[in-house]
Amino acid sequence: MKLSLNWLKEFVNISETPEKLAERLTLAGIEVEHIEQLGGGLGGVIVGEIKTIIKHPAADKLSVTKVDIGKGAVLTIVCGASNIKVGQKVPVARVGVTLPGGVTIEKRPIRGVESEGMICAEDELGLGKDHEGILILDPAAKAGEKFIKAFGLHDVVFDLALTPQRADLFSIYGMAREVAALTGATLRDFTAKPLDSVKTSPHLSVRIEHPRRCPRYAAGLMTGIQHVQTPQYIKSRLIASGVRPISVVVDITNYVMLETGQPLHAFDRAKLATGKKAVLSVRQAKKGEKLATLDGKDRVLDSSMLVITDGSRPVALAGIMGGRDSEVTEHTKDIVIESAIFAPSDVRKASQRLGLRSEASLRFEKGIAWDLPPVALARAEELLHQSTGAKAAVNVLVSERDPKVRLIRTTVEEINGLLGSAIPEKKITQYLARLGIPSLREKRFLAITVPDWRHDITCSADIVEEVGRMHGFNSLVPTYFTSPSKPVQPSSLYRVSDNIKDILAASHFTEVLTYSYYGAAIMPSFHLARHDHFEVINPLNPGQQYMRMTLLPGVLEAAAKNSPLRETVDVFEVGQVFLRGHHHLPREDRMLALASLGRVSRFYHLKGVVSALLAQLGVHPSQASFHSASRVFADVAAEIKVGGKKIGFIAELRDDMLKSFKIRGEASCAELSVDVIASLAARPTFTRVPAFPSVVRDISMVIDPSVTYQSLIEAIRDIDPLVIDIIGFDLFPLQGKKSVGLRMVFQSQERTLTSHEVDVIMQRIEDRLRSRVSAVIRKAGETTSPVTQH
Amino acid sequence: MLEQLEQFKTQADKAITSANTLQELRDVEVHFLGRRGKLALLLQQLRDLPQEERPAAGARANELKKDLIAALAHRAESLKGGTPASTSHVLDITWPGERMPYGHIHPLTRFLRLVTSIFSSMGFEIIEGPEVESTKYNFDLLNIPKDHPARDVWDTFFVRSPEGVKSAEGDLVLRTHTSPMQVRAMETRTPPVRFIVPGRVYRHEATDASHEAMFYQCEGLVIDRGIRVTDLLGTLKIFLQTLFEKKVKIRVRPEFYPFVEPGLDIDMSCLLCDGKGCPACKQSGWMEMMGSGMVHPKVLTNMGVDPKVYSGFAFGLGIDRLMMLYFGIDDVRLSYQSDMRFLEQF
Repeated sequence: MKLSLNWLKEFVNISETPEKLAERLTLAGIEVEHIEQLGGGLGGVIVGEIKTIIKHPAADKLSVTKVDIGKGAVLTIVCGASNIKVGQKVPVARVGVTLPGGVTIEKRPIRGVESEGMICAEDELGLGKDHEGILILDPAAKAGEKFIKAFGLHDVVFDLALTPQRADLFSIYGMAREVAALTGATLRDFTAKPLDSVKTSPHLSVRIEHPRRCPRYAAGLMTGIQHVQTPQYIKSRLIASGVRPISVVVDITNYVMLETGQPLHAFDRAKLATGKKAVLSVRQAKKGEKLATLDGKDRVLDSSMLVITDGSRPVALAGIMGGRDSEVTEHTKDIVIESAIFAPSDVRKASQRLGLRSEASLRFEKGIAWDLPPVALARAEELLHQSTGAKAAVNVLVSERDPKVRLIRTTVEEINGLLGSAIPEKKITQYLARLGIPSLREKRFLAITVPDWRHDITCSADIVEEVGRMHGFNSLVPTYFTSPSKPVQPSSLYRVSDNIKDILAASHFTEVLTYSYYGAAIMPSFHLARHDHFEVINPLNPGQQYMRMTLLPGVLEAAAKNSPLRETVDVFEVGQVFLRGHHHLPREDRMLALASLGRVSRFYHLKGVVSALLAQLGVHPSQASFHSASRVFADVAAEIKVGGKKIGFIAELRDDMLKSFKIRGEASCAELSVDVIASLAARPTFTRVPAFPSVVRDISMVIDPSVTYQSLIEAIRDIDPLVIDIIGFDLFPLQGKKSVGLRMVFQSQERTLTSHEVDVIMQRIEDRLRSRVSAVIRKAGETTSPVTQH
Repeated sequence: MLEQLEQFKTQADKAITSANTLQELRDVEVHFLGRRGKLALLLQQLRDLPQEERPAAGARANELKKDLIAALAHRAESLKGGTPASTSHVLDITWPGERMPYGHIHPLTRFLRLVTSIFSSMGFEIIEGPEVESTKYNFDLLNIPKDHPARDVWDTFFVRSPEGVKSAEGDLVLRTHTSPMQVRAMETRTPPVRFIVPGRVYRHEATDASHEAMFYQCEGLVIDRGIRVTDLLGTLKIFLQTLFEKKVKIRVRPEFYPFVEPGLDIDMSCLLCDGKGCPACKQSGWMEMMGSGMVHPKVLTNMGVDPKVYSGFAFGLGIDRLMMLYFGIDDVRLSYQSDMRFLEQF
């Protein structure tokens, strides 16, 4: 909200500089986002009075004017606008003045006539976009006077970021009350006193069908409106508040809304149902009922909305906008002004449903103070009478219930206890009194009456906040809680997730964080179906419409993005996927996805990383098994199981996938369930370090390409208990077959092995390999170099 | 004997330098150091030496074996192409060390770890919660009623479940903050509690250099008897000072969050200008750090905690923004673009 300090000063004296006041407000929770000094760059513009206008001798569309700029000085100015008339007061920029747009006025001939300045339009002054004609000033402006003064621009405007619960601050008066409370200055009241009102009169009556939805309705009939210019101070303040002046009646109703916080609406009396008596009725709209609103749109209503009717047809959408049929125009003579309270949630729902938000609906949905309707009506009648000469004929006020009195009981101890302060009781009650909140001591309690404009105060914690704001939260002395804390460990899922990241980073994998959603476009590639997904109903774009069920698309895309820049790319992500569960919420599983890109296949590399990861988390490699599987996006895929539990899979991407992800080279990927890994992760178990040395022998052989490593191992694994480990270390194609190197580790827990013993076993191994997998043994030998134990 | 050993050394050295493949090198190894290799034979002869010559010869043999193993390893390295072969044992310390590739932890993860470790040290439990929430937990139980303007503050993504099932807990949403976990966590805990909840949250807003629709928050909740506003101030001040390793000043401004009362925004004296005013803090000298407040009595009641007995404070950290400040990053979107040129800086 924009707050004009000139306007504010009508109700409260301000002794601080605007900057100091802004800081005080900000520290009291009313954030001043911006301080604007109005009229910037317009200091050189003055008021001129047009004395004569003659046609330009050489140009049809130009006029030559004589303009009085005070102290007897008269300038000759050539002007192209058509809306100027003799006697008008206009803004004049003399030679040498620079306007906000950067233009400096020069003395120069225009089509042969020397022009000594410029008469300015709105846009030239930086006040708006209008270039239709010259900005015509109030007749009361004096020639030679500074334009910013005449136009009410010698003002400072605060741009406030108000919070929705403080409905009372959405008005100049509400802000004045707050400023008075915070600075200790005195608050001035309105000059207008509510006129006597009746429940019904021979000329005007109000009927409310839904008291809960419209608890209070004031209406005033004013007669004899004259459509004069809106007073300049009202226009200036509207402009400073960001509201465009329109016509005197509309301007004054807007002015009163900004000043008091009470939205008003004026109906043209003549356009309401004819008859001696104007009747306004508040009722539920009928389904399908239509109303043409002031903004020129035809609205179709439903029964959740509230309308004002003239007894036969809707003339306004309660709290949102008036109807076009009963709009006040320059021909209007008599008006009926509405000043009412509508249920906040009704207004909010209707405005959301119609996509129609107005300054009025904004205030209604935050709540109107009970006392406000008659006060605002009186204020509007006062201003309308002053400026248009209209007379208030009759006022009607219907209240469907008594005002609610809200009492809060709290104690000084409770207030100080929650703040951590020691503010004396007297000080507390003073703070509250300054805010207009009366309090009374009742035994050990403070009985606090909540004023009707403070909808936000509902419990003692709210009182604590008010005391804190007045006292200044920054004057409290920080403490650190003294109670001991219990030792707590994060969940194993959290710890394992964290471990995984460290282990993979040490394995040259870089962590990425990708979006939790993807689009339908990627689904076929991964064999996913839309209907299995949790769907974002209002996505920012179609690529973010479905909650991910796998991390792979994101991780592959992340890897692919980097592949043009480097030979290998290794990335991973740990994150949630969203799966159908038994509960109405998705089952959010924690997954780990890895992608490894390179010029040649990265399958064994990735498999090694995954095996090492599992080993470091306490899953022994011998527990993990890889089973042939198929994935729609993969040439080769394997399911990874640990002790019969599926933990995920690893795959080598198919060529068409590489193409669609724009990956040059090869790519492998894997996705594992962190939840399952966390359930398997175990503390390392100790086995005694062998007391006797191990013996290592290598054997290399040529076998048929179809013979798998698994079948080699199975062929020889159980050959002798002294074989404690077999490691494949060499693999390459050889003349249509493949050459494989195996490293055998022999060890006894009881003695040092002799080479003879090992030789015998090696011979049996060779025989077994020859007979089972038709291996041609190339070379078997010993090695003395130590072999890393896995 | 010693002479034989020296001869052995010369032969072995020559064989090692002339081995041109790893396989040849292994053959050399077997030939000289193998179980039935030359050195083994020489050692057997040791037994026949007179008693007084044996120690010297034995020592020399061991020395030779060590040298040989080192020479083999060195040659093996140079055959693998790692380091330049150096015959003279003179190391060029300016030669680059072997390239040790390593991966990178995402800066958000790094920063979150820092945050969680500070709170851990203050006795806070670390917990996590669902990213798809019901409106009941995301709004209702946090005193943000339906059809209340307060809900406008949270631009919300709504979610449809695969079956389109409606639930008693209201519509599904992508959680707009980590605050729903305040109530969820208290369903299985009783005061006194101290915990934090790091995690992803979502806001339906257009992205730019300072806004992302998806980002990380870290919620905090403390409930005990006699918790005061001053405890909130002290705890968060200590946190910020520990985090930024600087004696920063803090100031608070009342702010409206429906689930706390009073609600307070915490500002920290600007890290760059120490409060004097600079472009980074828009000349104010202060930087907005986090939202916080005393847990609203209604929310305590929703947690099953008696507000007459207990009080508490809650806070929420915008992790992305703090992380950017911590590392000096100027665009929030970099975090989710997976550009290695960015990620490798951390």
